Amino acid sequence: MTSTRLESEAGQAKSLVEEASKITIPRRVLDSIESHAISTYPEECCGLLFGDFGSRNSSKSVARSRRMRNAFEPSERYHRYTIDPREFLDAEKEAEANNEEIVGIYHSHPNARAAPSQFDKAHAWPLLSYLIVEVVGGKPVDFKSWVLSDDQGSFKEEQLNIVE
Amino acid sequence: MVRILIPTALRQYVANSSPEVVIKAETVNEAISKLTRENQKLARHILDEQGKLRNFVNIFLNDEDIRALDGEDTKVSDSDTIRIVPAIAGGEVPSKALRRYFCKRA
Repeated sequence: MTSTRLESEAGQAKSLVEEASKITIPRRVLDSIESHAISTYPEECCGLLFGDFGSRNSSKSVARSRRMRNAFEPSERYHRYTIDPREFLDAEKEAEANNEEIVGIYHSHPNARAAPSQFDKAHAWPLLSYLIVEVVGGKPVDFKSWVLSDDQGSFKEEQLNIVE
Repeated sequence: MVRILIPTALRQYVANSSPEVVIKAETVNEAISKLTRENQKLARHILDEQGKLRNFVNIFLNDEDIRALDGEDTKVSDSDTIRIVPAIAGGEVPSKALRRYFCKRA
């Protein structure tokens, strides 16, 4: 989405999308996600990123991740994931109780690029980060984070700021 | 008045980015209809072109999935809380050649 197009959108949504273009994540969280992706290979893993969205002028930050069960039918888990709605609801309540927010979802792409698929796009929600780990031969080889554009037409890669 | 909790991802489409909206309604359908009428940017994220709830949206009434109740016709009362819970799913089609090679070894 171009900046000109954004300017024609509602101001508030515009600001939030621009805010979501950077995400700070601790190395230990990435390590945990990669371990999860290795443990479920050749099936996809999935989980949630907890943290905060930051103020209007700062970026999203992740404090911790939580592994979730891939509830897709077993024969399809090599290329699909889903989180059970009730388990997601429980995670939302956990976030509320800890004064956190669910800022994103992570999942792995076994033997596929760390880029969103059409299926990812069809199921994506605005504002949330979608961190994808590419796993080849059981080893994580790449990870990227993406956020949906406000018009849901495309994904934009986020700048990952990895901190110790 | 029923309380509707808005998920973080969709608060930007609700007046004042409010985490909850209070609405007078007798059924879930009436509550969602009023919510989306008053917050039209929200509508395209939770309703399909026919104005029905998208498959990717789950509605819980007091922690009970409305699919296990009477669906959108489920009655609501003043002390009830409706939660809009986004369905989370995705995945990629892996390279067939890579999959054949690595899945045999996994």
